[in-house]
Amino acid sequence: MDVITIYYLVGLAGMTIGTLAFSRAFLNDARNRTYHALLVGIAGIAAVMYALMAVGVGRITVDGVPVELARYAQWLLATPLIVVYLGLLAGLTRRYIATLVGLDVLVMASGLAAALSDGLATWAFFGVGSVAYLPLIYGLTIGLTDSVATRPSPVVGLFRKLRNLTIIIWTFYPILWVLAPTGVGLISREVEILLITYADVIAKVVFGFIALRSQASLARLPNLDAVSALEFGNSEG
Amino acid sequence: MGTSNPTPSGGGLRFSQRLVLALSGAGLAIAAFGVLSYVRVIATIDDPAVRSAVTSSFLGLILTAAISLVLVAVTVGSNTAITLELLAQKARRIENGDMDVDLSTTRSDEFGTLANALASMRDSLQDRIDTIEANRREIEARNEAIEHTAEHYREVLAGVTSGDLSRRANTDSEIDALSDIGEAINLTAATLEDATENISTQMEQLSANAEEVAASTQELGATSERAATVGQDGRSAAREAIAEMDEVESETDAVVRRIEALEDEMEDINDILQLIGQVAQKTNILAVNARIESSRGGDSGEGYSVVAEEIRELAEETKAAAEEVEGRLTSLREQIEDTGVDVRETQQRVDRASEAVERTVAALDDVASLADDVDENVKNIGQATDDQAQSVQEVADQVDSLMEIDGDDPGVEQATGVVGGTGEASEATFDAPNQEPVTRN
Repeated sequence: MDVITIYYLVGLAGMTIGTLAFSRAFLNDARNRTYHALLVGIAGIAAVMYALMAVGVGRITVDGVPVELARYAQWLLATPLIVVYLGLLAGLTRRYIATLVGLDVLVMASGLAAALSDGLATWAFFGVGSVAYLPLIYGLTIGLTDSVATRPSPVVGLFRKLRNLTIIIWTFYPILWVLAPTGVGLISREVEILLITYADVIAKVVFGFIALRSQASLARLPNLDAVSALEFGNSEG
Repeated sequence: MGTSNPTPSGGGLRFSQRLVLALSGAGLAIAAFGVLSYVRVIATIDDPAVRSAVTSSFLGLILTAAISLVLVAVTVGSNTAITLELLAQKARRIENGDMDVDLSTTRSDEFGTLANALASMRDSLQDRIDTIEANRREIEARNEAIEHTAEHYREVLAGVTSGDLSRRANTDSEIDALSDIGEAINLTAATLEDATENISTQMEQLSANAEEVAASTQELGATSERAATVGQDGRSAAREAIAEMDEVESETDAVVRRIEALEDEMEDINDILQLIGQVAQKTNILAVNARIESSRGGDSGEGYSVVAEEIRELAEETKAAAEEVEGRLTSLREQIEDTGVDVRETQQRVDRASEAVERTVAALDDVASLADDVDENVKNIGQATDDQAQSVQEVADQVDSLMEIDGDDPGVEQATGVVGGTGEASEATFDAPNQEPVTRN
């Protein structure tokens, strides 16, 4: 068993613990079920993908560099759920959330495309992804609508905590991507996977636990059913 | 979000900024130590594969440290900053009077303690506000009661002012001061009522007095009239007396003149008598002569001497008669002289009487002017009585209206009637001197 598999298994363990904890909250807290469902989705997808990576499924080699398709699949599927979670928490409109999700998917897809390309195309796609990441940050910080201010203050506090965590952790990914063999190759694949696993566990499991710890603040929201929350956001837009 | 809420921390930096600075410093220190270590380690390695692995490990270490610092920053630092800010917001809401701020917390750390402290502070504040509010409501209720009572008093006073003196205030107030005021109002109203009744009585008395004054004035008018009439009679009588005395005086003058004429005539008679005497003397002498002559003539002279004798006798008789007449004349003259003295005395007396009558006329003139004065005074009294009657009438009217409102008080009607009659009497008094003016010249 090489060290990479061990890293993946550690990541799988973390994601599994998260998935179980979130599932338990999902089952126990019917009122915030939508939020817990999103957390379960985020950690669950990550757990599945780590399991796949641990057994080596979806690993291809591009230009001599191994690329984990499962990791990109995890990012493509799980990060939009994180964006949706933040958007619901902030009471954003459905349209606003959709825009943010679109940007997020564009960033992740660009990363995948960059990983699958070689030469100049790699950096072109990396540039597209980086550029798309800027409006996503903007949309989650300065560009937030006033609807956030109308949310109960504990919810606003939770949102800001999770939003800050997400944005800062996410910013490490392109740095790692550049330093990793996919980019300039200053750090080895093992170290890259170790760091990415660390970051993934923080961005998903720690994210989820912070959210769960503030479960009481979720109870302050008038109606946290996903659909009605979306309608709530829609009516405000 | 939340960037516009400066916290009163020292150094002008927000907690989050200082946190970022501190963690950045820590990150830089780790990175610097890592780079230093990396440079010293890499210098001793010649194998490129090992160098690459070492480089990767060092970078990985630094990145792990960076991610960990971020994790600390977000989970501890950001959490602290945000929690403090939220608690500050809630404290501000309490400051703005929002006592419904939810400070319940599940946290048992220092933030939980702080939130609980804020909650108990808010509850204590709410208790005090409730107490103040209760006090305020009590004061408001009290004020309302005071306003209500004041309004009641105002109505009562308005009633009393418009003449309803039987109005009395309800003094059942919880506030002693207001009860005192109510009692004072009632006392005032009662006093007013008594005073009004008293005024009625006084009016009655005043009316009676005015009537008496009117009667007296009328009587005085008649008296002064009589005085004037008497004065006039006296003066006309005096003037008649003066005229009579003037007559007496002129008659007396005529008597004096006649006496004087009589004296003159008696002088003339005296002269005549003396003439007669002289004639008798001469006749005597003649007779004497004739007898002498006759004696010369003899017989023929005898007869002649008889005649002469006769003539001498006659002359002597004449002389004797003339002497007797003279004697009588002398007696008469004495009587006439006495009479003249008497007449002159009478004239002087008449003069004195005339002067006395003149003085009487002057005195009667004084009486007349005094009667005039009396008349004028009576007129003034009449005017004054009339004015008084009008005043009394006005007061009576007011009292009347007061008492009318007060209800059926027979005493008031009586008083009003008397006062009305007084007005009429006063008018009659005023008219009397005009209709029957005192006669004056």
